[in-house]
Amino acid sequence: MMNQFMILAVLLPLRTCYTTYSQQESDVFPVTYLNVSKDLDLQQLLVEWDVVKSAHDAELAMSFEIQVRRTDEATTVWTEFQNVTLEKLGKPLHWTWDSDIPLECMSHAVRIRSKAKTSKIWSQWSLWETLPGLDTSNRSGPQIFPKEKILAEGSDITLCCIGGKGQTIKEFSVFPTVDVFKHTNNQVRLLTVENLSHDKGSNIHVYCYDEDKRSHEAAFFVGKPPDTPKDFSCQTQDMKRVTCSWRDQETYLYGKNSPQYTLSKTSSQKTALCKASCSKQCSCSWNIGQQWIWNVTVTVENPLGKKTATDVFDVNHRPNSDFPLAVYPTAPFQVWEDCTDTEMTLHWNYENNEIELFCQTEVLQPDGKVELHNSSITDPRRITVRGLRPHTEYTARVRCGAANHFWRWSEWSQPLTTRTKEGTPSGKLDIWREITPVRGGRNVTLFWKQTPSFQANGKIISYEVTLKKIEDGSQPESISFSSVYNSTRIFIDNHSHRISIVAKNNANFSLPSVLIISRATDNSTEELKEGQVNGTDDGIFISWEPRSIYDSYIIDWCNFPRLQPCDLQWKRFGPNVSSAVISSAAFVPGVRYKFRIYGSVASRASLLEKKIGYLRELPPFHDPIVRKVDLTYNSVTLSWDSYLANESEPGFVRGYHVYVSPIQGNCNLKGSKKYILSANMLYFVLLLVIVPTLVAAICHWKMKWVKECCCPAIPSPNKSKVLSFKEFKIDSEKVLKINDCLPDMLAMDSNDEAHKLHPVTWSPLSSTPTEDKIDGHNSSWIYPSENVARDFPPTPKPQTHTCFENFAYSSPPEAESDPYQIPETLEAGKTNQAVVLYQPQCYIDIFHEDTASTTTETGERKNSLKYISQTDTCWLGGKL
Amino acid sequence: MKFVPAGVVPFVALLLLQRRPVAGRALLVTGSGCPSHALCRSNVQEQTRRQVAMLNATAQELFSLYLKCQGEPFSSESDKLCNPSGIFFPAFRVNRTSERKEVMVAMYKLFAFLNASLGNITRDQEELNPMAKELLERLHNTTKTTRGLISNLTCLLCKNYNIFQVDVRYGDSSKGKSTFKKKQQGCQVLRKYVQVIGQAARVLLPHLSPS
Repeated sequence: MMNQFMILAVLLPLRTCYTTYSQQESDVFPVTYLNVSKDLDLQQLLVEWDVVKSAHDAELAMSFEIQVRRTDEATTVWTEFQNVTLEKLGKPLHWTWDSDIPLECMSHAVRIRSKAKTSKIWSQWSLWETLPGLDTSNRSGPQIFPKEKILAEGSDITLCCIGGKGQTIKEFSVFPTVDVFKHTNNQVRLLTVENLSHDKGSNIHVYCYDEDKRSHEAAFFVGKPPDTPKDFSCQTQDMKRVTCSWRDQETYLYGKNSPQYTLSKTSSQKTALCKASCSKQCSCSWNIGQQWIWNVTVTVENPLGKKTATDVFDVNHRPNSDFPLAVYPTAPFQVWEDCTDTEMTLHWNYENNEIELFCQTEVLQPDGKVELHNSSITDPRRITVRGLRPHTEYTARVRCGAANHFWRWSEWSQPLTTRTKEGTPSGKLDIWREITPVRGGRNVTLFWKQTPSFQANGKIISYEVTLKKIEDGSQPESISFSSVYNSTRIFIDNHSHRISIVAKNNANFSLPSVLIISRATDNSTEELKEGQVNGTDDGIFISWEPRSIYDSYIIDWCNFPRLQPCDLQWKRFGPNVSSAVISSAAFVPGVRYKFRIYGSVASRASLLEKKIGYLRELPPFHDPIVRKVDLTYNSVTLSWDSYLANESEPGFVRGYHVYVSPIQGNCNLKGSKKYILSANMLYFVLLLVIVPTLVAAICHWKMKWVKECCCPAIPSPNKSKVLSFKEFKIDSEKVLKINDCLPDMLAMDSNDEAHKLHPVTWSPLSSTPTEDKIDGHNSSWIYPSENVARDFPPTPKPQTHTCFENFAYSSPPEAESDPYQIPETLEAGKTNQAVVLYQPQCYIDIFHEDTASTTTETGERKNSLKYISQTDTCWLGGKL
Repeated sequence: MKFVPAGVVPFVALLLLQRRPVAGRALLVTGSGCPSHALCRSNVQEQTRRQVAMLNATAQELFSLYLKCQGEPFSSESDKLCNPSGIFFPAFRVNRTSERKEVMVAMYKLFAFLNASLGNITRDQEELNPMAKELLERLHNTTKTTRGLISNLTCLLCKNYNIFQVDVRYGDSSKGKSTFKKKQQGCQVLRKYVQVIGQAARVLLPHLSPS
């Protein structure tokens, strides 16, 4: 009994163990069916398997462990667990696996085992189900996988090149060259390109060849999947056809790979409303028919992906619509106008009669400015623009927008250019006159011009001049002139006259411009002094003495003073102006212009001042001709024709220069002495003194020679070649050279006859005595003597070597230049310039050696002193 | 410089058929003979010579630009990739001493082939390199010139030798080929074109020089 119990005690646990084991074994449901296939387009392994039917019947919750292995790799490349609750219908189970290398590259094998959720025991693994790669096929040449396709930028790709059966791949390269991971397996070569980029070239090229030089190549495009269309919106121009537009984005894929857009109702995206490719513009249109509310979707698709965007709109353009369709009206057309002189009413038409519009008019002003005018909603097809200028061309155009839910303006209409009608001329003409006394009256030349403030407001067709004698109340006389005239000459007697001038256009007359010509009197204004004025860079500067009684000033002048008519010009100035710069394009240097300054009060003008001046003075056209050279034993007297003091001169002649130079070596101005004479001098007396003892000594030493050469039988200084200045010209200046036979005494003439020197007594016309500026010498005087000048008889003489210059332009010899000398001389000349007629004759002081030369020069002269006969035979032509 | 085909205008429509990359017989003119009037313009000979000269002058640049636009390895490996030995190209076995008629027929065969091949290359490049505007423009211009050249050769053959039918073989179509193969085929044709056009210019010169 005991033994039986013992046996039972042993067997019972065993049975329990067996029962437990058997129970667990009955919970294992191994895979009964496994099939593996591939989708090469998607590069996926498709795995299908099943378990026993009882598991399905029990609707067991099961776990499956799936392993994937490649032929060239010893380890499993992928393991995944799938939890599935089985269905009674007994459908097989599916799993897909995305391969990271092309499935063609090598064989792939899959196995599966299972486990009920309630169990802890896995089933046995199924057998490996192998899907052979192309490496096992009987091909001859190498082949690259995957096949050519579009690759996404930023992604990675693994490529393989499979050699033919028994062939080894020698080279497998990618272009452009990038970093790659390479795996080698004799027959199969793998490489991985990470982070693909479109900017590495138009394509990625892969190139592979085997040991027999057989090759295969492939090209891959790299681009981007499309992004969601941006700014997707729809609009209509006529409420019949809707156009939706959006913004394209770069995908780096072109041609047949470029993004394709399809617009469809959101509710039925399979039916396209329209299609577009965005080659030029991203938009497409369709007719909306009777449907008011639209919910549309645009789908963009390229080989790398697909995106959508939607828009909702209400075609019925009600003010309270929450999502009204944007209205982009068509441009207004048939724009026409109706003008007065200051107003323009524009009319137009438009097609969008179903929509309430308001419009905007742009008016282009003549000055280029643009004005915008909005029309009223109640009258949207017309607008009146006011405040326009008469007889002026304006260009207008119109655009319109939806009055409710305004979105954008239409295009502009065709521009309309029109001209307002003529209006009354505004402002007054600027008029002036020139009066010439004639027998029995005066000739009055009237001038008129349009000032900037004058607005013709049309085309001026005539000017009307009305003349009325003031005193006797006679009837005014009117004369009409064509618009081409701007002046006329009339004769009036010596009474006061009132002259008015108006401009006339097709609309009306301008306000009259009036001037009154006073009764003629004997008070000739010709005696007014002519003051000199100066030119500036901007014109000629003129100033006058202001008088409080005048309400304006007028300056007139001739643009061409040497012509007739001289083109009289005038300019008006306010009462507070007392100076002006007169400029004219006609002003040229070297021409003397005369300016008359008038004061005007109550249309009566009175001449106040006269001015003359140059824009810029020019040097005299010709050197003065020396008419006479009188030589005594110690002096030389020169006389020359004076310049005319009138407007024919190209500048104001302020004086003359006389150069005295010893004959030493070459004849030039160096070492010469310049004597400056005021232009109002009649005589210039200069006495040059040589050290008497020196002369005496030389003469005594060479008495015989001196006598033969310098003192012929009939000595005549005038015959001396020494003092002949013929053909002697240096640096454009004529030079008088005093040779060794220098005068030694100063004399001075006041007329034909020489008279003795006496101190200068200046007339009021000469404010400052002008003299040779050599310090310490008062032996040279200049005599302003008008009478003497007139009486001085011109004596034909051989031309002397004398330099005459206008101080304004002469460039004095550098050795003689004295910066203080010229201004003084100018001042003196200026005072007397206008009233003195002159015919100067010069006495040159050569009595003192310093007068004519520096100490050094004197020394040189002393050393070279020799007496030269003044006869022809003594002429030292080579030296002088 | 653009050349206006000097040949008879009705030929043009017919010749357009020859762009199609098919092998076969090219008909110069319809019907059973050459037109009897207004066949050639007076300057057709000189114009033909200039057309060949211009193609010769631009061929190398076209080839270089083509290589550049394809990307690597075409530029660096052009000897290998663009080796034309594997493709069909019409034989051009004439020289300066060959008979003029023989030269004209060989020219016709050559440029009929080139016209079709350039059409294919242009089409492929429009698809593969749509942004390569300069290359496309050069391809278009070259194709147009060959078209004018064929027209002129047509009229010369008809006028001088009463030849109105020439057997022409065209190259393989690139349609359906891979991107790389399309590029490679264009490269091979253009490289051979560079070689042959120089020879054609030299051969044609004495035959078309003003007498």
